[in-house]
Amino acid sequence: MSMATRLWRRRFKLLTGLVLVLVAASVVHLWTKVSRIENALPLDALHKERSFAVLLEEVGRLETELRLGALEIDAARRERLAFALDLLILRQRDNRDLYAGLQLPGVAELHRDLGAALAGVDETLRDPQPDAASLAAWAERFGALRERLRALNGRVFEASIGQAVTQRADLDRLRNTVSAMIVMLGGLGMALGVLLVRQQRNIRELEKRDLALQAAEVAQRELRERLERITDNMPGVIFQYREWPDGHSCFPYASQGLRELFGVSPEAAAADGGVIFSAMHPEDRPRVIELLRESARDMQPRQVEYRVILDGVESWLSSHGTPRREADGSLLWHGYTHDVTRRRLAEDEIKHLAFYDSLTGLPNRRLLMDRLRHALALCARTGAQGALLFIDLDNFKTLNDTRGHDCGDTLLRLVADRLRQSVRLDDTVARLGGDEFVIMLEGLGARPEEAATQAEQIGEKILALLNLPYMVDGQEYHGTPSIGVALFGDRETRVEDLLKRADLAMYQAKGAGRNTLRFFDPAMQTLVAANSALEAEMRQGLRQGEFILHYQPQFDAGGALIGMEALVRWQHPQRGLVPPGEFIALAESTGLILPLGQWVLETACAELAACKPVCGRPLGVAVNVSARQFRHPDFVEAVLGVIERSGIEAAQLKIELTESLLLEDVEETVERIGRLKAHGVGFSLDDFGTGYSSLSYLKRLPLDQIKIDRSFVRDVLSDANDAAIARTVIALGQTLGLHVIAEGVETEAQRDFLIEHGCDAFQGYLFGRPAPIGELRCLGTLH
Amino acid sequence: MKRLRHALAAFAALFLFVSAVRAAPAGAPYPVTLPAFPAGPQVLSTVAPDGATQRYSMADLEALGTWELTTSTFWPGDDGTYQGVLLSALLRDAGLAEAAAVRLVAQDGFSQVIPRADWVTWPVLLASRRDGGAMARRDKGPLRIIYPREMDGALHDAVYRLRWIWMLARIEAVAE
Repeated sequence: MSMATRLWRRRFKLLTGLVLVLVAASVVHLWTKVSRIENALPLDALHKERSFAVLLEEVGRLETELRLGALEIDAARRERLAFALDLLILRQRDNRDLYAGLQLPGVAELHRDLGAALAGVDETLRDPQPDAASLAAWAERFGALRERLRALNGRVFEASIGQAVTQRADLDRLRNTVSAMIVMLGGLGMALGVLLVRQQRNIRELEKRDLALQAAEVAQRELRERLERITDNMPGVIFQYREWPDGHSCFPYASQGLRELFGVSPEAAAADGGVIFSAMHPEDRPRVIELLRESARDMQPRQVEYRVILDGVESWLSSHGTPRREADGSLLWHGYTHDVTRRRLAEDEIKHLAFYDSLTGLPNRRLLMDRLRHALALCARTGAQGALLFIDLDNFKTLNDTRGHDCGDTLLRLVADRLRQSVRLDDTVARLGGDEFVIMLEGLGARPEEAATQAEQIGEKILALLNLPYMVDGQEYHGTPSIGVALFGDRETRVEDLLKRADLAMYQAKGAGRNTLRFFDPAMQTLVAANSALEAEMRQGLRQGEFILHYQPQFDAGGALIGMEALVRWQHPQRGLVPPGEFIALAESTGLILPLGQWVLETACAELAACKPVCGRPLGVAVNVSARQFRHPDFVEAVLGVIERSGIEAAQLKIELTESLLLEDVEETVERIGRLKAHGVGFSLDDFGTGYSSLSYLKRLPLDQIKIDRSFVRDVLSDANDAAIARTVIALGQTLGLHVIAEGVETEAQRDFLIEHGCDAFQGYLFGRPAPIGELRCLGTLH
Repeated sequence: MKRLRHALAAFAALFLFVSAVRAAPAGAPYPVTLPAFPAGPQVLSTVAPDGATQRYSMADLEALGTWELTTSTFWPGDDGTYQGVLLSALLRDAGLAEAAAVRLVAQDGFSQVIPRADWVTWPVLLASRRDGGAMARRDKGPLRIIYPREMDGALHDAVYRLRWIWMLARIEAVAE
């Protein structure tokens, strides 16, 4: 018996009771109404009316008899008179209450007058021979009474009619009431009937529904059990994940697979969703949470793959969830999670197969093109240049044909290993197929000449490496490569074109007799060739002592010689004196700067030591040191060794550094300067103000001197900005306690301006051009 | 058949008599002995269904057996003790006992039909005296019908008011 059925039954009882009460009330109402109307039935009025009519008639009869008696009286007439009188007296007495009950004016008077008249006639008739005249008089009197009675009768009639009309109306109302009640009761009865029928139907329906519900419950339970059997035996997890706006979360349902994948029981996850997230790889967790946030924002399903480390084994899982907003404001995701570790591994392998050469393990053409595209984009942003080296093995086909493919393959693997070793980790070594390899170099110098030189050096290194003998199947094999180089640094260039250029350059190398390197750009080729020649000449020059040092004197404000700057010059056998601008850059890019710098340092110190006795007082010498030289791990020891060997005081040596040095690894710079300063070596900052001058570096570096660059000094009198910079550098030096020296001072006016603003020392044509130490000797004596 | 009917009627009368004497209910008439009326004119005539006419003087009537009844009436100053004969006795004497209804006609011409049920059901009195004396015409005499009004509430109904005939002059059978 369901709730609804009970409700119906109670309602039915209520309705039945209501109908019964209504019927009872109707019956009582009808009864009262009927008895009220019955009591008011016009019978009384009829009696009254009739009584008056009879009274009127009998008064008329008595009047007639009296008149007849007045004419002639005999025994019969007398008897008739007496009878009429008796009747009237009787009527008068019976009507006594009637008179009293009538609420009409004049009734009492009439009653009294009639009574008096009747008594008078009765008296008169006692006489055996009544007087005719008195009978006539009585007749007249009764005539008047008759008239009064007639008028009264009319009024009684009217009243009676009125009462009848009222009662008729009452009856009509009663009839209406009865009709209405019958209709109402009929309606109620019908309603009751309909209700009964409906109730029966409802009960039947409810019972049917109850049965259906039970069946549905059984079906549902079976379905749930079946579902659980399926979900719990499925690889992976079926889950519901719920999240409330306050951040609290849980897994209202999760299949048993949760234990296997996460090591968490469904019950624990149902209590707190956080345990699942804790099981995720820390690197992947933020990504999963971010995807959840996205899904919550746009209410779209999301799929995410992440790692879980369970018992030390890493596995990849994939989760898919579709969000739905719940009535209580929480979000509910329905989804599934499964293990995709095998697929990931397969994907990795496929990716490897797709992007790597299976023989050598090197990136293939596709990956190379992809990286090249990235490199081009990067070049456009950083401004750095890159280079493609197209390497083809000479006579590889012959090896393949004579000693078999296995030997060829072995050789290719060996070549790949050597190529890999010959470049930085960031560079790409790829195999295009056959005996073709490509090396992509990135992050070379910003200027094409610089990049070309760097690429050429690496190319030469590769040439050298691949020229070394190989051991192929126990036999020594000697092979050579041809290398084509194409520079890139321009985004406009298409990667295919780039590769084609390197390829063409490689054919040029083949055409040039193999085992060589060629640039695609003829200008580059020329430049590189020239540089190569120059480099060779420099090496030879270094060996043969073609480099010499010139010194430019430095004076203080008072005009006293305080030292000199050593400047390197190349006394070329054919070209004469070559200025440093033409060979220092090449020396730096080729690494020749190291032996050259060492030579400069040693020579300067040695010459200064030789000069000392001549000048009478110790002079200082400033030596320029390049970044590459300064960064060399043995730099400090080398400097100290030179000082010791030369026999000069460490304080006589001043090392000039450039600003670019300050940009890298300030800690190491500070440490090196500190170590040398501890021995008394001085430090000067060259070209201050031309580069990325940073006051914070300036403050941290333990310098002794800063040098105002010649470009500021040149226009210090004509350009307000240069004047301001010069003044500022001087002020800065004074503030930081640094010695300030100006270079390139050519006029006395420039010198005076600088002196005026507090500059400590000067060098320039005004004081003396750079000259060999021998010529400089005189200066000390001159001043 | 007629004898049997008579016997039945006699038995009924006896029964009524006995029951009336034995346990006269409240308001019921009871038999009374009265001094005889002096000889006088015939005041009542009866007409049987067969047209046979009988005439009765007051003495003739009272010879049928006198009863006394104290009752209220419908009219003012009319309540009192009346003596007379039972209507049923008169009708039996006049040969009207089996009539379905009879018409009673007064001296002034007023008349009413009384159904048989009335005299069979109640001991209706044809009063000839009030308080032992004759009734004047102006006092609704000399003969008048008195219903035993106190015996039965039904007799208070206005219908019976009209059947209280006074100045009774004639009784005739009503043709069915």
